[in-house]
Amino acid sequence: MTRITLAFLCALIWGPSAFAGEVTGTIDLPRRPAPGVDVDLYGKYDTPKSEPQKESGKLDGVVFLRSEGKETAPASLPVPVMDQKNARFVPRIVVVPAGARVRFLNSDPMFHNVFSLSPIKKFDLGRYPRGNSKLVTFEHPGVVQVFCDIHAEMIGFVVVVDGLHYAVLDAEGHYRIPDVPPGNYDVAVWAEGMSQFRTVGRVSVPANGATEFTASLLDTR
Amino acid sequence: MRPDQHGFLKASVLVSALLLPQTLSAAGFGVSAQGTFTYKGGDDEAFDLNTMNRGDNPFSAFRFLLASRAVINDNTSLYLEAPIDANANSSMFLTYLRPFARLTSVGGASWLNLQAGRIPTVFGTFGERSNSTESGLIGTPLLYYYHSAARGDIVPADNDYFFQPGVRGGGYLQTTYNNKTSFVGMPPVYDSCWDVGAEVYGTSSGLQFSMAAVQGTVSRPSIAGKDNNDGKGVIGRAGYEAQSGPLFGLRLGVSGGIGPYLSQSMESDSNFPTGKNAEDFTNTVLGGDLSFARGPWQLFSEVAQASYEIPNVHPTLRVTGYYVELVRDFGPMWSVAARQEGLYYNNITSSTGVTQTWDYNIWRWEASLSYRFRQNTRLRLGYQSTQLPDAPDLSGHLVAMQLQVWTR
Repeated sequence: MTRITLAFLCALIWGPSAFAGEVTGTIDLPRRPAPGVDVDLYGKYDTPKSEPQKESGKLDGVVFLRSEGKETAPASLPVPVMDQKNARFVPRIVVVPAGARVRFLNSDPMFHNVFSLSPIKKFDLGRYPRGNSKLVTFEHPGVVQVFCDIHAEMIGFVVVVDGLHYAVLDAEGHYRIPDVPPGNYDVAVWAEGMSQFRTVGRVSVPANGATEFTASLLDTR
Repeated sequence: MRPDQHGFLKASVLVSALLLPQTLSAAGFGVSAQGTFTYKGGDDEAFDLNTMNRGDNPFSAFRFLLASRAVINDNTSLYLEAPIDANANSSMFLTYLRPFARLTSVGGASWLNLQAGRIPTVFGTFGERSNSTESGLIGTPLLYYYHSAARGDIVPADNDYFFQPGVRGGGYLQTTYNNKTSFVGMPPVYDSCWDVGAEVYGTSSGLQFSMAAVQGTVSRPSIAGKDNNDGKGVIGRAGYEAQSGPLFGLRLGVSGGIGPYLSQSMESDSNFPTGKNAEDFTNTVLGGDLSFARGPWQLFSEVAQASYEIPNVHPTLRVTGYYVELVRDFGPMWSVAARQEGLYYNNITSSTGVTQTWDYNIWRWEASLSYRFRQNTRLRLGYQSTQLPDAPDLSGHLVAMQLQVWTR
């Protein structure tokens, strides 16, 4: 009884990380093609695009874990921000679990007008001033492409996953998903150009320590 | 605006020879394209009233705008735009190619930029959104293309020229007077004809400035690649765009341009006044622009007055015009737009004592309903009504359905 009480107290004090592992590894994706050149013929007064799109590395992608059982989302999730800065979406990819919100901030001294025509979430935020932001709730899992109505070259992705544990791949496809409760999970991946998520394997996460999982989408996209 | 094919071809060869090696070694190269496919109905006269210099027309069955950019380095790019139109005179295709170079942050000053070559008009703000994906409507504002009876390659003997049948309201038609063939009359501002010249422009803390020296003038750009007289035109705009606060979304500015517009060859015309030369007759255009955007709303408006000093014609010919345009989005797919506009000409008096405007006053309203299927595909239903109260036979209506597709 004392041992159980002690374990319970520990769980309360250290929270979920007290019995959580992490999943790390690499998802091997094709390399990103050379970025296109914006033909900004008429936008002579627009802010220079000082943060160019990623010029090297692999395609942008996301990896996430699907639990066998139903996962309960925490009461309050942090709201990620997709900024509009130097006529770019920053970051270019935001991942949220289904039901979560994303804040679209405008940090540019000019108008943007974020909109999406994606089947799982159509919206149009209109034009709003620098420093202002608007919230959008993404109810259904899937990939939502977002654009700016004023700057056609702007493109971003909100990846809405049916899981609570996820990561955006870095330029070489590496990832780290921390604080994963022990259990068995399907590993699912999305990369730019894919129309839907793809399950690429399965991992068993222990109560502590890291589990490595690596997969390749070089031939299967 | 009469095209000088020979002069332009020489200029094209020279420009191509200079740009090709740069383009081939460019750090980056991009192309973009857009196309519009239009099915129209209504009055032929109403369609003709939208016609531009080489026969191109926003309501043409198909139009393509191809553009490329070669990035030479971080601060230098070469641009080329090629407009293609089902109704345009294809023999004038080369004349309407638009090559220019853009240098940004000249001398390290982020507010100082330079454009040179065949450049878009500096006057006003419509030019920045004149391509079909940026404009909420199919038609171009009258202020930016409607050809008046004033021409730069005819010297009238006196005011009576403007009282002859077919002169008023015939600015978009070829005409002959005193054995001289004239092509197209001058609009207040000519958006689709890019002039040859150099422009200095920049922006800092919301202030915007632009100043260009060009071969032609605001109303009569010299598209031929060779100047039409010994004078140069000067065009400028100064403006302000709020960067933050409650006025964010407000943009306003004033524009002006002055220069000699008359073709040098008119000096040998039997009607040309003795003791004068072509550079003594100027085209002056002054105007203001105001726009505001917030949420789903956008408002655009401009007003301008163009003046033409015509040999043997008194007083100076003037036309005053305006447009007000409102766009409202309804979600990501639907939007509606409407524009109201007009051009008003001053009076002149004939030798018989008759007083009338030197061209027909004209006003128009246009509306459209747009539906966007994809980020780069839109279907638009448009209606345009053009009225010339003193020439009802030239008035008319147009309806059109237009599919627009463009690359990102």
